[in-house]
Amino acid sequence: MLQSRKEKLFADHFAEYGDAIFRFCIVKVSNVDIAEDMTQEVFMRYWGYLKAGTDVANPRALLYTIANNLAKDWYKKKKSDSLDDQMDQGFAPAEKSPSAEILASHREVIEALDHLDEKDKEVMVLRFVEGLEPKDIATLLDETANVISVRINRATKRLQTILHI
Amino acid sequence: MNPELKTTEYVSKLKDIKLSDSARTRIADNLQAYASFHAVRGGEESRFISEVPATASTSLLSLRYSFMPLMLILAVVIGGSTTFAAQTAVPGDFLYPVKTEFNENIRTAFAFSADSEAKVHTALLEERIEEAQTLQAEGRLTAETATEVSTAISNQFAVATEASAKSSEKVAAEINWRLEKAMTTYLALGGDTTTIATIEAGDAAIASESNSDISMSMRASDLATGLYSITAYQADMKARTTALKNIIVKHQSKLSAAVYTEVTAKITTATTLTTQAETQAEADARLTLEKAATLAGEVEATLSTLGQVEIDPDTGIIADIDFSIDPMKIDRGDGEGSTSSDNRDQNAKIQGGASIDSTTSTELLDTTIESNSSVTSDVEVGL
Repeated sequence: MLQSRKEKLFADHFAEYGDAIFRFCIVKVSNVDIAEDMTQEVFMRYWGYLKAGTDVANPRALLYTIANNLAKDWYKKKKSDSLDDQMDQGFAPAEKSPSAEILASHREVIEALDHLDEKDKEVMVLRFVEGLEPKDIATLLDETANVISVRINRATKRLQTILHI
Repeated sequence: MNPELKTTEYVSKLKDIKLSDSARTRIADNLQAYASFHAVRGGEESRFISEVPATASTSLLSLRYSFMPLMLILAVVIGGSTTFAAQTAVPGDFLYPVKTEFNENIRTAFAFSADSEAKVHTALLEERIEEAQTLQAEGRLTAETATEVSTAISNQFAVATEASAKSSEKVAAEINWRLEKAMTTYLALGGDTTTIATIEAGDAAIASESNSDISMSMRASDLATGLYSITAYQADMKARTTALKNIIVKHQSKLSAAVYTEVTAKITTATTLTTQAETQAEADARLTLEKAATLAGEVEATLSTLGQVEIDPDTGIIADIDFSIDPMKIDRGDGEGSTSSDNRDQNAKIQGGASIDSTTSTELLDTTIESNSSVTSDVEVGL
């Protein structure tokens, strides 16, 4: 049956890309709880595509695109929300929620990355954490490979300065 | 190593980040439920080729419960303001099903994380209890509504308990405290014998449904509030507050300044209220004592998270607290030797509260209440 086949595919894709999307989200939002919720939301929207019968040639690219859009929405919302509002909704402040899964060393890297601007942060993660080639990142972010390469280079230099390496 | 490589290697440390097992399972379950609810429609699949659920709100409304569409239609047919009107409904009202089956399902569907889910379920339990209070205040607590209320409360209690077990340590502590408080309120509701009977039935249901390893704090004298003679109630409160005050003074050095100030303030107020009750007419005295009992209960809850509580088997009052023992690490003899604080599947449990004998069984906080049993000494407790 169509439904069950798609559900199977959906579950497989979550198993395969769930962690990567979670990593991407956590770098974006620096908070485990929000990153988990966001990961779930990414996949819910992804189901919308699968269900509608969209031919998803590159699931990973689509998932990153959705995650990226959600992260943008989140930033917009974060800016407009006061801290109090966020606390009311049960979100921990940017002080990050403690979690056994996120080690201190991870947090340190995330914080270092926080000094970069969003676009730099995102190419760094896609390139060095997820291991994507500049041309794949380019497709994903709708840029040219050249732009991405330049951005990666610049971001690396900037991070180097931040880390005093 | 060249600096560039060092930088990129530094970033690549993040490769180890993964979803925690609990989060993975939870998300996978939610997604599966979501996918089966938003099922593929045969034959019309490419109609909305590029349509993605536009916002979280539209995509999440229908996350759970297969009967939701029916309620949705009902709500739409009756009118948009129905759902708001329904919010104040109590069991027996026409709109009550809209409140519980529609409004509240949306609330739980919106609770993404385990923590927010636990909070929502606890809030719902608190609402169930408020409804019971409303019904009682309006004199509408008939046998029928009472059964409905107690079933709803025990079900909600089980759900909230379960949700609390999945939530983070910090939230679980808050939730358990709220659950405890809610159940104390619920038990204190027993103003007449019908309700008491219903509540006892509810407790039995709770006892059979909850299966956590930590006992729910419950004070049998609260259960009997409505039946207790006012003098006995007062004497009990006096002994309870005095005992607590002594413990606080005795262990002052072991408490942090903040905790000390908080518990001292509460117990002082409770003592004042208890004394005040002496001069009041019975109805007022009862209310005053209830306030004092709530405060004393809060102090007991705070203290019992800090040390091992020793209970006087005769009076059921906390006799002393050993602050050198971390209650989180007490092996409750359940074979799981909860030595790790992770093992705090924080939950509450009431065992066999079906026929609590109000005159003999007055165990305090967090002790297991056993039917008609005489309390054995050296009860091990922990929150």
